[in-house]
Amino acid sequence: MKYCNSKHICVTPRGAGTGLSGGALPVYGGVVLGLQRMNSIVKVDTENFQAIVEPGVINEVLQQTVKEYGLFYPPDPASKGTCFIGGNIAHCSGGPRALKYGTTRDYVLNLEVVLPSGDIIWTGANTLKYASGYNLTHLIIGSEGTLGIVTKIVLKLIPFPTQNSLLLASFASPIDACRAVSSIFMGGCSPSVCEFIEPLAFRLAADYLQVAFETPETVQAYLLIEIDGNNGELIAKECENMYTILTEGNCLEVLLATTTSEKEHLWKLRRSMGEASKKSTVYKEEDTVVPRAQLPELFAGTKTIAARYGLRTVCYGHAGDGNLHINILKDEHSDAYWNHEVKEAIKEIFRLCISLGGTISGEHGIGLVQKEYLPLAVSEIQIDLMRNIKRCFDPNLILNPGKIF
Amino acid sequence: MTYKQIDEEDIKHFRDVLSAAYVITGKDQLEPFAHDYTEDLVFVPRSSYYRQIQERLPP
Repeated sequence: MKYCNSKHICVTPRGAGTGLSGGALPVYGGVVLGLQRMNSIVKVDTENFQAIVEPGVINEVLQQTVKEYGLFYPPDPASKGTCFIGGNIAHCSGGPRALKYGTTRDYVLNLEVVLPSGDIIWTGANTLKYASGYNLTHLIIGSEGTLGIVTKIVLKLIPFPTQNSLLLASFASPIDACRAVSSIFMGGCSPSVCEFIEPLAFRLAADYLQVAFETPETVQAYLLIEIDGNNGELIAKECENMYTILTEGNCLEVLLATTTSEKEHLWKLRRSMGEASKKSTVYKEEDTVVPRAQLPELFAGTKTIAARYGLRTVCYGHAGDGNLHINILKDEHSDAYWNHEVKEAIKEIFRLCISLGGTISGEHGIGLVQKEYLPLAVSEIQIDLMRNIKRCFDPNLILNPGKIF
Repeated sequence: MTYKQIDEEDIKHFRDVLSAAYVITGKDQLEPFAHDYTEDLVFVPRSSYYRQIQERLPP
Protein backbone atom coordinates (compact mmCIF):
# COMPACT_ATOMS: atom_id res chain seq x y z
CA MET A 1 0.00 0.00 0.00
CA LYS A 2 2.87 2.33 0.81
CA TYR A 3 4.30 1.81 -2.67
CA CYS A 4 0.96 2.30 -4.43
CA ASN A 5 0.22 5.38 -2.36
CA SER A 6 3.56 6.97 -3.21
CA LYS A 7 3.14 6.18 -6.92
CA HIS A 8 -0.57 7.08 -7.03
CA ILE A 9 -1.59 3.63 -8.23
CA CYS A 10 -5.19 2.77 -7.35
CA VAL A 11 -5.96 -0.40 -5.38
CA THR A 12 -9.26 -2.28 -5.31
CA PRO A 13 -9.59 -4.79 -2.47
CA ARG A 14 -11.51 -7.93 -3.38
CA GLY A 15 -13.04 -10.72 -1.37
CA ALA A 16 -15.02 -13.52 -2.99
CA GLY A 17 -16.57 -11.21 -5.61
CA THR A 18 -20.12 -12.03 -4.50
CA GLY A 19 -21.12 -8.40 -4.04
CA LEU A 20 -24.24 -7.05 -5.72
CA SER A 21 -23.26 -3.40 -6.14
CA GLY A 22 -20.02 -3.64 -8.10
CA GLY A 23 -17.93 -2.75 -5.04
CA ALA A 24 -15.03 -5.04 -5.94
CA LEU A 25 -14.72 -3.94 -9.57
CA PRO A 26 -11.50 -2.12 -10.54
CA VAL A 27 -13.20 0.67 -12.47
CA TYR A 28 -9.98 2.67 -12.81
CA GLY A 29 -7.79 -0.37 -13.55
CA GLY A 30 -4.73 -0.49 -11.31
CA VAL A 31 -4.25 -3.25 -8.79
CA VAL A 32 -6.81 -5.69 -7.45
CA LEU A 33 -5.80 -6.87 -4.01
CA GLY A 34 -7.21 -10.37 -3.64
CA LEU A 35 -7.75 -11.48 -0.06
CA GLN A 36 -8.73 -15.09 -0.76
CA ARG A 37 -5.51 -16.53 0.66
CA MET A 38 -5.97 -14.77 3.97
CA ASN A 39 -8.42 -17.45 4.99
CA SER A 40 -7.34 -18.60 8.46
CA ILE A 41 -9.58 -18.91 11.44
CA VAL A 42 -6.83 -17.83 13.81
CA LYS A 43 -8.59 -18.61 17.05
CA VAL A 44 -11.95 -19.56 18.52
CA ASP A 45 -11.97 -18.18 22.05
CA THR A 46 -14.53 -20.27 23.92
CA GLU A 47 -14.02 -18.38 27.18
CA ASN A 48 -14.85 -14.97 25.72
CA PHE A 49 -17.16 -16.20 22.94
CA GLN A 50 -14.99 -14.62 20.28
CA ALA A 51 -13.31 -15.64 17.04
CA ILE A 52 -10.29 -14.08 15.40
CA VAL A 53 -10.36 -14.56 11.65
CA GLU A 54 -8.77 -13.33 8.46
CA PRO A 55 -10.93 -11.60 5.83
CA GLY A 56 -10.85 -14.47 3.31
CA VAL A 57 -12.69 -16.90 5.59
CA ILE A 58 -15.93 -18.09 3.98
CA ASN A 59 -18.96 -17.15 6.06
CA GLU A 60 -20.34 -20.70 6.18
CA VAL A 61 -16.95 -22.17 7.08
CA LEU A 62 -16.83 -19.88 10.10
CA GLN A 63 -20.41 -20.79 11.03
CA GLN A 64 -19.66 -24.50 10.86
CA THR A 65 -16.38 -24.15 12.76
CA VAL A 66 -17.83 -22.23 15.70
CA LYS A 67 -20.88 -24.51 15.77
CA GLU A 68 -18.53 -27.33 16.77
CA TYR A 69 -17.91 -25.35 19.95
CA GLY A 70 -21.65 -24.78 20.50
CA LEU A 71 -21.28 -21.19 19.30
CA PHE A 72 -23.13 -19.18 16.68
CA TYR A 73 -22.11 -16.50 14.19
CA PRO A 74 -25.54 -15.37 12.93
CA PRO A 75 -25.01 -13.09 9.85
CA ASP A 76 -25.93 -15.36 6.94
CA PRO A 77 -26.19 -13.67 3.53
CA ALA A 78 -27.65 -15.77 0.71
CA SER A 79 -24.14 -16.28 -0.64
CA LYS A 80 -22.86 -17.61 2.70
CA GLY A 81 -21.38 -20.68 1.01
CA THR A 82 -18.94 -18.53 -0.97
CA CYS A 83 -18.83 -14.99 0.43
CA PHE A 84 -16.00 -13.88 2.72
CA ILE A 85 -16.20 -12.33 6.16
CA GLY A 86 -14.11 -9.44 4.79
CA GLY A 87 -16.75 -8.70 2.15
CA ASN A 88 -19.49 -9.03 4.77
CA ILE A 89 -17.72 -6.31 6.74
CA ALA A 90 -17.28 -4.13 3.66
CA HIS A 91 -21.04 -4.13 3.08
CA CYS A 92 -22.34 -4.77 6.60
CA SER A 93 -24.10 -7.88 5.33
CA GLY A 94 -27.22 -9.15 6.99
CA GLY A 95 -29.23 -12.07 5.67
CA PRO A 96 -32.43 -13.67 6.92
CA ARG A 97 -31.40 -14.03 10.57
CA ALA A 98 -30.47 -10.36 10.90
CA LEU A 99 -34.10 -9.97 11.95
CA LYS A 100 -33.48 -11.48 15.37
CA TYR A 101 -29.70 -11.35 15.66
CA GLY A 102 -28.63 -8.18 13.84
CA THR A 103 -26.20 -7.58 10.99
CA THR A 104 -22.42 -7.96 10.68
CA ARG A 105 -21.93 -4.67 12.56
CA ASP A 106 -23.39 -6.24 15.69
CA TYR A 107 -20.71 -8.97 15.75
CA VAL A 108 -17.50 -7.09 14.96
CA LEU A 109 -15.51 -6.05 18.01
CA ASN A 110 -12.16 -5.07 16.58
CA LEU A 111 -10.43 -4.84 13.21
CA GLU A 112 -6.87 -4.83 12.05
CA VAL A 113 -6.78 -2.42 9.13
CA VAL A 114 -4.06 -1.48 6.66
CA LEU A 115 -4.51 2.18 5.79
CA PRO A 116 -3.73 3.57 2.33
CA SER A 117 -0.57 5.05 3.86
CA GLY A 118 0.59 1.52 4.70
CA ASP A 119 0.15 2.11 8.43
CA ILE A 120 -1.49 -0.74 10.31
CA ILE A 121 -3.99 -0.04 13.09
CA TRP A 122 -6.43 -1.86 15.34
CA THR A 123 -9.69 0.08 15.33
CA GLY A 124 -11.01 -0.73 18.80
CA ALA A 125 -10.66 -3.33 21.53
CA ASN A 126 -11.68 -6.97 21.95
CA THR A 127 -14.46 -5.97 24.29
CA LEU A 128 -18.23 -6.00 24.23
CA LYS A 129 -18.28 -2.35 25.27
CA TYR A 130 -16.32 0.47 23.69
CA ALA A 131 -16.52 4.13 24.65
CA SER A 132 -13.00 5.31 23.97
CA GLY A 133 -13.44 7.99 21.37
CA TYR A 134 -14.97 7.70 17.92
CA ASN A 135 -15.86 4.14 16.99
CA LEU A 136 -13.51 3.51 14.07
CA THR A 137 -14.59 -0.14 13.94
CA HIS A 138 -18.10 0.85 12.99
CA LEU A 139 -16.80 3.43 10.55
CA ILE A 140 -14.86 0.77 8.66
CA ILE A 141 -17.87 -1.60 8.60
CA GLY A 142 -19.93 -0.74 5.53
CA SER A 143 -17.22 1.49 4.05
CA GLU A 144 -16.96 -0.84 1.05
CA GLY A 145 -13.17 -1.05 1.01
CA THR A 146 -12.74 2.70 0.51
CA LEU A 147 -11.07 3.56 3.84
CA GLY A 148 -8.70 0.70 4.59
CA ILE A 149 -8.05 -2.98 4.01
CA VAL A 150 -9.27 -5.24 6.78
CA THR A 151 -6.68 -7.93 7.49
CA LYS A 152 -7.88 -9.38 10.78
CA ILE A 153 -11.22 -9.44 12.51
CA VAL A 154 -12.28 -10.07 16.09
CA LEU A 155 -15.87 -11.30 16.11
CA LYS A 156 -18.41 -11.72 18.86
CA LEU A 157 -20.12 -15.12 19.04
CA ILE A 158 -23.24 -16.22 20.88
CA PRO A 159 -24.53 -19.63 22.05
CA PHE A 160 -25.90 -21.73 19.19
CA PRO A 161 -29.68 -22.08 19.33
CA THR A 162 -30.24 -25.81 19.32
CA GLN A 163 -33.78 -26.04 17.97
CA ASN A 164 -35.92 -24.39 15.33
CA SER A 165 -39.17 -24.68 13.45
CA LEU A 166 -39.69 -23.52 9.89
CA LEU A 167 -43.13 -22.49 8.62
CA LEU A 168 -44.29 -21.63 5.13
CA ALA A 169 -47.44 -19.52 5.06
CA SER A 170 -49.26 -18.84 1.80
CA PHE A 171 -51.50 -15.86 1.01
CA ALA A 172 -53.92 -15.00 -1.78
CA SER A 173 -52.94 -11.36 -1.43
CA PRO A 174 -49.33 -10.12 -1.22
CA ILE A 175 -50.57 -7.07 0.67
CA ASP A 176 -52.07 -9.34 3.33
CA ALA A 177 -48.73 -11.14 3.55
CA CYS A 178 -46.92 -7.82 4.02
CA ARG A 179 -49.44 -6.74 6.67
CA ALA A 180 -49.07 -10.05 8.49
CA VAL A 181 -45.38 -9.29 9.05
CA SER A 182 -46.15 -6.45 11.45
CA SER A 183 -48.98 -8.44 13.03
CA ILE A 184 -46.53 -11.23 13.91
CA PHE A 185 -44.44 -8.86 16.02
CA MET A 186 -47.42 -7.00 17.44
CA GLY A 187 -48.77 -10.39 18.49
CA GLY A 188 -45.73 -10.97 20.68
CA CYS A 189 -43.79 -13.34 18.41
CA SER A 190 -40.08 -12.85 17.76
CA PRO A 191 -39.13 -15.07 14.82
CA SER A 192 -35.51 -15.49 13.81
CA VAL A 193 -36.50 -15.30 10.14
CA CYS A 194 -39.46 -13.74 8.34
CA GLU A 195 -39.02 -13.75 4.58
CA PHE A 196 -41.51 -12.48 2.00
CA ILE A 197 -41.44 -14.44 -1.25
CA GLU A 198 -43.46 -14.04 -4.44
CA PRO A 199 -44.42 -17.33 -6.13
CA LEU A 200 -42.43 -16.35 -9.24
CA ALA A 201 -39.26 -16.26 -7.11
CA PHE A 202 -39.94 -19.82 -5.95
CA ARG A 203 -40.66 -20.93 -9.53
CA LEU A 204 -37.45 -19.36 -10.89
CA ALA A 205 -35.42 -20.94 -8.09
CA ALA A 206 -37.03 -24.35 -8.65
CA ASP A 207 -36.29 -24.15 -12.40
CA TYR A 208 -32.73 -23.04 -11.69
CA LEU A 209 -32.13 -25.89 -9.24
CA GLN A 210 -34.20 -28.31 -11.34
CA VAL A 211 -36.27 -29.38 -8.36
CA ALA A 212 -40.00 -29.55 -7.83
CA PHE A 213 -41.89 -26.81 -6.06
CA GLU A 214 -45.57 -26.31 -6.72
CA THR A 215 -47.07 -22.82 -6.42
CA PRO A 216 -50.89 -23.01 -6.70
CA GLU A 217 -52.52 -20.25 -8.76
CA THR A 218 -54.45 -19.02 -5.74
CA VAL A 219 -51.22 -18.22 -3.90
CA GLN A 220 -49.78 -14.76 -4.57
CA ALA A 221 -47.25 -14.54 -1.75
CA TYR A 222 -45.48 -16.61 0.89
CA LEU A 223 -43.94 -15.89 4.25
CA LEU A 224 -41.09 -18.19 5.26
CA ILE A 225 -40.85 -17.99 9.05
CA GLU A 226 -38.33 -19.57 11.41
CA ILE A 227 -38.61 -19.66 15.17
CA ASP A 228 -35.52 -20.75 17.05
CA GLY A 229 -34.30 -21.23 20.60
CA ASN A 230 -33.31 -23.94 23.03
CA ASN A 231 -36.68 -24.93 24.44
CA GLY A 232 -38.86 -27.09 22.18
CA GLU A 233 -42.01 -26.44 24.18
CA LEU A 234 -41.62 -22.68 23.95
CA ILE A 235 -40.96 -22.92 20.22
CA ALA A 236 -44.09 -25.08 19.77
CA LYS A 237 -46.13 -22.56 21.75
CA GLU A 238 -44.82 -19.69 19.62
CA CYS A 239 -45.67 -21.68 16.46
CA GLU A 240 -49.27 -22.02 17.72
CA ASN A 241 -49.41 -18.29 18.41
CA MET A 242 -47.97 -17.64 14.98
CA TYR A 243 -50.57 -19.89 13.35
CA THR A 244 -53.39 -17.93 15.01
CA ILE A 245 -51.94 -14.57 13.92
CA LEU A 246 -51.38 -15.73 10.35
CA THR A 247 -54.86 -17.23 10.08
CA GLU A 248 -56.42 -14.02 11.37
CA GLY A 249 -54.33 -12.23 8.74
CA ASN A 250 -56.06 -14.04 5.85
CA CYS A 251 -53.42 -16.69 5.42
CA LEU A 252 -54.54 -19.56 3.14
CA GLU A 253 -52.42 -22.28 4.67
CA VAL A 254 -49.49 -22.75 7.07
CA LEU A 255 -47.13 -25.63 6.35
CA LEU A 256 -44.59 -26.83 8.89
CA ALA A 257 -41.31 -28.27 7.60
CA THR A 258 -41.12 -31.43 9.68
CA THR A 259 -37.78 -32.86 8.60
CA THR A 260 -34.29 -31.49 8.16
CA SER A 261 -34.42 -32.25 4.44
CA GLU A 262 -37.66 -30.27 4.06
CA LYS A 263 -36.07 -27.33 5.83
CA GLU A 264 -32.94 -27.59 3.67
CA HIS A 265 -35.08 -27.77 0.53
CA LEU A 266 -36.88 -24.54 1.41
CA TRP A 267 -33.63 -22.77 2.36
CA LYS A 268 -31.91 -23.92 -0.81
CA LEU A 269 -34.74 -22.48 -2.87
CA ARG A 270 -34.69 -19.22 -0.89
CA ARG A 271 -30.93 -18.82 -1.19
CA SER A 272 -30.97 -19.47 -4.94
CA MET A 273 -33.50 -16.80 -5.84
CA GLY A 274 -30.92 -14.13 -6.73
CA GLU A 275 -28.91 -16.39 -8.99
CA ALA A 276 -32.11 -17.85 -10.45
CA SER A 277 -33.38 -14.38 -11.39
CA LYS A 278 -30.04 -13.60 -13.01
CA LYS A 279 -30.13 -16.78 -15.06
CA SER A 280 -33.69 -16.18 -16.27
CA THR A 281 -33.10 -12.77 -17.88
CA VAL A 282 -31.05 -9.57 -17.58
CA TYR A 283 -32.21 -7.89 -14.40
CA LYS A 284 -31.55 -5.15 -11.87
CA GLU A 285 -31.73 -6.01 -8.20
CA GLU A 286 -32.70 -3.24 -5.81
CA ASP A 287 -32.16 -3.59 -2.07
CA THR A 288 -34.92 -1.39 -0.68
CA VAL A 289 -35.59 -1.14 3.03
CA VAL A 290 -38.40 0.58 4.91
CA PRO A 291 -39.81 0.40 8.45
CA ARG A 292 -41.59 -2.96 8.32
CA ALA A 293 -45.09 -1.52 8.87
CA GLN A 294 -44.62 0.37 5.57
CA LEU A 295 -43.91 -2.84 3.64
CA PRO A 296 -47.46 -3.06 2.15
CA GLU A 297 -47.12 0.46 0.70
CA LEU A 298 -43.64 -0.29 -0.67
CA PHE A 299 -44.79 -3.50 -2.34
CA ALA A 300 -47.98 -2.02 -3.81
CA GLY A 301 -46.20 1.14 -4.95
CA THR A 302 -43.40 -0.84 -6.58
CA LYS A 303 -45.86 -2.92 -8.58
CA THR A 304 -47.73 0.23 -9.70
CA ILE A 305 -44.49 1.93 -10.80
CA ALA A 306 -43.23 -1.18 -12.60
CA ALA A 307 -46.58 -1.62 -14.40
CA ARG A 308 -46.45 1.99 -15.59
CA TYR A 309 -43.07 1.27 -17.21
CA GLY A 310 -44.20 -2.10 -18.56
CA LEU A 311 -41.62 -3.88 -16.41
CA ARG A 312 -42.01 -7.20 -14.62
CA THR A 313 -40.66 -7.49 -11.10
CA VAL A 314 -40.09 -10.36 -8.74
CA CYS A 315 -39.86 -9.48 -5.06
CA TYR A 316 -38.52 -11.40 -2.11
CA GLY A 317 -36.52 -10.57 0.95
CA HIS A 318 -36.18 -10.02 4.62
CA ALA A 319 -39.68 -8.75 5.33
CA GLY A 320 -39.21 -8.74 9.09
CA ASP A 321 -36.49 -6.12 8.59
CA GLY A 322 -38.59 -4.25 6.00
CA ASN A 323 -35.83 -5.20 3.53
CA LEU A 324 -37.39 -6.08 0.18
CA HIS A 325 -35.21 -7.17 -2.74
CA ILE A 326 -36.91 -5.98 -5.91
CA ASN A 327 -35.65 -7.68 -9.05
CA ILE A 328 -36.64 -5.81 -12.20
CA LEU A 329 -36.60 -8.15 -15.19
CA LYS A 330 -35.62 -7.03 -18.69
CA ASP A 331 -37.51 -9.80 -20.47
CA GLU A 332 -38.05 -8.82 -24.12
CA HIS A 333 -37.45 -5.08 -23.78
CA SER A 334 -34.92 -3.50 -26.13
CA ASP A 335 -31.54 -2.46 -24.74
CA ALA A 336 -32.36 1.20 -25.42
CA TYR A 337 -35.64 1.01 -23.51
CA TRP A 338 -34.06 -0.97 -20.70
CA ASN A 339 -31.04 1.28 -20.29
CA HIS A 340 -33.09 4.46 -20.05
CA GLU A 341 -36.47 3.53 -18.62
CA VAL A 342 -35.29 1.18 -15.90
CA LYS A 343 -33.28 3.98 -14.31
CA GLU A 344 -36.37 6.17 -14.20
CA ALA A 345 -38.39 3.34 -12.67
CA ILE A 346 -35.66 2.71 -10.08
CA LYS A 347 -35.61 6.40 -9.15
CA GLU A 348 -39.37 6.33 -8.61
CA ILE A 349 -39.13 3.20 -6.47
CA PHE A 350 -36.33 4.74 -4.42
CA ARG A 351 -38.27 8.01 -3.97
CA LEU A 352 -41.23 5.98 -2.73
CA CYS A 353 -38.96 4.04 -0.40
CA ILE A 354 -37.47 7.23 1.05
CA SER A 355 -40.91 8.83 1.43
CA LEU A 356 -41.86 5.83 3.58
CA GLY A 357 -38.91 6.45 5.91
CA GLY A 358 -36.62 3.95 4.20
CA THR A 359 -33.44 4.04 2.19
CA ILE A 360 -31.96 2.65 -1.02
CA SER A 361 -29.83 -0.18 0.35
CA GLY A 362 -30.24 -2.32 3.43
CA GLU A 363 -27.32 -4.72 2.96
CA HIS A 364 -25.92 -4.70 -0.58
CA GLY A 365 -24.17 -1.33 -0.34
CA ILE A 366 -23.84 1.50 -2.83
CA GLY A 367 -20.68 0.45 -4.66
CA LEU A 368 -20.65 1.39 -8.30
CA VAL A 369 -24.17 0.65 -9.49
CA GLN A 370 -26.15 2.56 -6.87
CA LYS A 371 -23.99 5.65 -6.50
CA GLU A 372 -25.98 7.73 -8.97
CA TYR A 373 -29.01 7.19 -6.71
CA LEU A 374 -27.28 8.03 -3.41
CA PRO A 375 -28.19 11.75 -3.58
CA LEU A 376 -31.84 10.68 -3.48
CA ALA A 377 -31.28 9.17 -0.04
CA VAL A 378 -28.72 11.40 1.63
CA SER A 379 -28.17 15.15 1.59
CA GLU A 380 -25.27 17.01 0.01
CA ILE A 381 -24.06 17.81 3.53
CA GLN A 382 -23.97 14.09 4.38
CA ILE A 383 -22.12 13.29 1.16
CA ASP A 384 -19.59 16.05 1.91
CA LEU A 385 -19.04 14.57 5.37
CA MET A 386 -18.45 11.16 3.79
CA ARG A 387 -16.02 12.66 1.25
CA ASN A 388 -14.12 14.39 4.06
CA ILE A 389 -13.89 11.15 6.04
CA LYS A 390 -12.59 9.45 2.90
CA ARG A 391 -9.89 12.14 2.50
CA CYS A 392 -8.82 11.73 6.15
CA PHE A 393 -8.14 8.04 5.60
CA ASP A 394 -7.04 8.22 1.98
CA PRO A 395 -5.81 11.69 0.95
CA ASN A 396 -4.61 10.45 -2.45
CA LEU A 397 -7.91 8.64 -3.09
CA ILE A 398 -6.15 5.47 -4.21
CA LEU A 399 -8.34 2.96 -2.39
CA ASN A 400 -11.31 1.53 -4.29
CA PRO A 401 -11.97 4.71 -6.29
CA GLY A 402 -15.26 5.29 -8.06
CA LYS A 403 -17.39 3.75 -5.32
CA ILE A 404 -20.18 5.14 -3.12
CA PHE A 405 -19.96 8.80 -4.28
CA MET B 1 -9.56 11.13 -11.22
CA THR B 2 -6.47 9.89 -13.03
CA TYR B 3 -4.04 7.34 -11.68
CA LYS B 4 -0.61 6.20 -12.66
CA GLN B 5 -0.81 3.23 -14.99
CA ILE B 6 1.11 0.21 -13.80
CA ASP B 7 4.30 -0.39 -15.75
CA GLU B 8 6.93 -3.12 -15.77
CA GLU B 9 8.90 -1.41 -13.01
CA ASP B 10 5.86 -1.54 -10.72
CA ILE B 11 5.24 -5.19 -11.51
CA LYS B 12 8.87 -5.99 -10.82
CA HIS B 13 8.54 -4.23 -7.46
CA PHE B 14 5.40 -6.23 -6.57
CA ARG B 15 7.11 -9.48 -7.59
CA ASP B 16 10.18 -8.63 -5.52
CA VAL B 17 8.03 -7.98 -2.45
CA LEU B 18 5.40 -10.68 -2.85
CA SER B 19 7.08 -13.26 -5.09
CA ALA B 20 6.11 -13.84 -8.69
CA ALA B 21 3.55 -16.50 -7.83
CA TYR B 22 1.33 -13.97 -6.11
CA VAL B 23 1.37 -11.29 -8.81
CA ILE B 24 -1.00 -11.92 -11.70
CA THR B 25 -0.77 -9.93 -14.91
CA GLY B 26 -1.92 -12.25 -17.69
CA LYS B 27 -5.14 -11.24 -19.40
CA ASP B 28 -6.81 -14.64 -18.95
CA GLN B 29 -5.73 -14.86 -15.32
CA LEU B 30 -7.10 -11.39 -14.62
CA GLU B 31 -10.50 -12.14 -16.14
CA PRO B 32 -12.02 -13.55 -12.92
CA PHE B 33 -11.12 -10.31 -11.16
CA ALA B 34 -12.93 -8.20 -13.75
CA HIS B 35 -16.48 -8.89 -12.60
CA ASP B 36 -18.53 -9.93 -9.59
CA TYR B 37 -22.13 -11.01 -8.99
CA THR B 38 -23.42 -7.60 -10.11
CA GLU B 39 -25.30 -7.78 -13.40
CA ASP B 40 -22.94 -7.92 -16.37
CA LEU B 41 -20.28 -5.36 -15.51
CA VAL B 42 -16.67 -6.02 -16.55
CA PHE B 43 -13.60 -3.98 -15.56
CA VAL B 44 -10.20 -5.59 -16.06
CA PRO B 45 -7.43 -4.61 -13.63
CA ARG B 46 -3.85 -4.13 -14.75
CA SER B 47 -2.58 -6.58 -12.18
CA SER B 48 -3.71 -8.45 -9.16
CA TYR B 49 -1.77 -9.60 -6.19
CA TYR B 50 -2.37 -11.42 -3.00
CA ARG B 51 -0.39 -12.88 -0.23
CA GLN B 52 -0.72 -14.44 3.15
CA ILE B 53 0.56 -11.83 5.54
CA GLN B 54 2.57 -12.64 8.63
CA GLU B 55 0.64 -13.60 11.70
CA ARG B 56 -0.17 -10.62 13.90
CA LEU B 57 -2.09 -11.18 17.07
CA PRO B 58 -4.54 -8.55 18.24
CA PRO B 59 -3.49 -6.29 21.08
